[in-house]
Amino acid sequence: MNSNTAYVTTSLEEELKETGLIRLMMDHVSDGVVVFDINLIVLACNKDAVKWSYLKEAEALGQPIFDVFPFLDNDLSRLSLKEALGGCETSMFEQNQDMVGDVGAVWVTAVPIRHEQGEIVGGLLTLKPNGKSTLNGSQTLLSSLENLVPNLSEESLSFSQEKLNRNEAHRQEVEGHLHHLTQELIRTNNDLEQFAYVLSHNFRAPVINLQSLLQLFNAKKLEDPVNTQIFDKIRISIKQLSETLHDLQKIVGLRNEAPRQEYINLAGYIKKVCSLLKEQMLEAGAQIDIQVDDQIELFLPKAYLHSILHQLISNSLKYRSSERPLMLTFQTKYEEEFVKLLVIDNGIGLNHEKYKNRIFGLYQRFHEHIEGKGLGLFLVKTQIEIMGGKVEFESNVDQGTTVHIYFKKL
Amino acid sequence: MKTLKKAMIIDDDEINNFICIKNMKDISFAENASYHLRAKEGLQALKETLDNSDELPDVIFLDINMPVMNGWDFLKEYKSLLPKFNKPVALFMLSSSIYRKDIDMAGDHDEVTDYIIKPLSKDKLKDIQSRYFS
Repeated sequence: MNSNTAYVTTSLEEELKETGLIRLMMDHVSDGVVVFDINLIVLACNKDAVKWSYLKEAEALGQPIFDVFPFLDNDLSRLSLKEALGGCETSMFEQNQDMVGDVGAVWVTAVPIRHEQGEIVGGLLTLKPNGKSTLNGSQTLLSSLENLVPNLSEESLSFSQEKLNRNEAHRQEVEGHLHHLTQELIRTNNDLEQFAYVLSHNFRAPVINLQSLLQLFNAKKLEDPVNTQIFDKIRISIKQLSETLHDLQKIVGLRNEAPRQEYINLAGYIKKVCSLLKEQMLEAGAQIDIQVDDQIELFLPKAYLHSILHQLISNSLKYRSSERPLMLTFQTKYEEEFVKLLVIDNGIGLNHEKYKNRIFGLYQRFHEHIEGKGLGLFLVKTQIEIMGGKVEFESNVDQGTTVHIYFKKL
Repeated sequence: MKTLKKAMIIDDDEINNFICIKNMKDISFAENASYHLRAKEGLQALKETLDNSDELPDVIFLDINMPVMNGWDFLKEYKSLLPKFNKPVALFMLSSSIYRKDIDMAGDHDEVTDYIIKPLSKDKLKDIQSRYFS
């Protein structure tokens, strides 16, 4: 049996009658003790308890607890009494009352009284001055001083501990959230840094080349054969610059436009994009397996979904193994607030550990002999992030690649 | 000024390589200058010539931003080749990057002689000649 709950075998009233010795004990306790029923009617109280009331003991019996102790008639006290009657084993609070002399703050404890069978039949209230013993003269000062420092009684310590634990849990939760946000910010910042780095490289390199080429140009002897070579390279450099500029406009455009969103059936749309690439699929002898729930609807820009799927399928076609026909599988899973689409292929794959930080970067390329600009997966990531999702990948050399796309759930 | 025997450029930018070689020829920087567009190919060439002092370059110019194997990846493997070379080889990072991070990173590599910001002009080549090879 729990020491913070009182138990009775018969009715509460019946138990309170047989009180010869117990009555004596109660009256010699220096704390106020009050027994009340589930309707908050006072059934018994000791001598000390009536010190806290204007009523005499006989007048107090049968009265609502708030009439006997008006200082309990407030939200905090009502809540604590309700908690005790709801089974809360130690409900404690501090209550200021100034009705009886200069008593000051009072510590109130409420515990439930249960019938043996477990039903709650009432509660027990204890009242003690916050500072204990009689209060007069200099002791009033002492008492008010003690009110300023934490009350060190066992109950209040466990109460403070409970409060601290609750605060600690809350603090940890907030800290976890902050940590997550910080990680997210660091990641975004790194992405932006890489973006700026790569872009500035792709602008700087051809500009520097153009400057050098102009210096090498033989203006004194125009028919010098080197001039033809130089002119050719000037043209290439300008082409490189204009391509980078075009890519930049595309990327900036993505971030600025607010594309129209619409409801799209995911399985249906995957089929549609696959059929657009039918010829390449046939040429690769590709097998497609769409294990996507027909019911999944997404609300997002169709243009984005189209370009993401088109890019990923094209990549699977491009980086397929020459040793086996392409097997392309689409699966969905629910994860927290996301619908996760997995695009799985059995292609040549790449070294995940080595390239995990660069795979979605701008102008990053990982295969020597396959043409590519290194823009596709960067755009995929950008579009997914604009939609509030995220993208991850796993890959094994000569086994295949799986791209995980997280779409926000409807 | 002493003309070096052999210079090697490792850079995926063909125009840069053209400029470097033209400038080297114009000031007689090296008797022979060649380039590799892929870091891996450059590495392979070094492996094949590490005990052939006629073929092994005296100086290497290495780019940073290259696809698949970039300059830093190259350095990791180059480090293990270095003790096997049968003559001293100087390696310069040659990049258009003016980022502090790249410059500092090059400084952290003992096998890197210096960091040179593109373009590799005639003046810079002459400076390298007088500072490291005279």
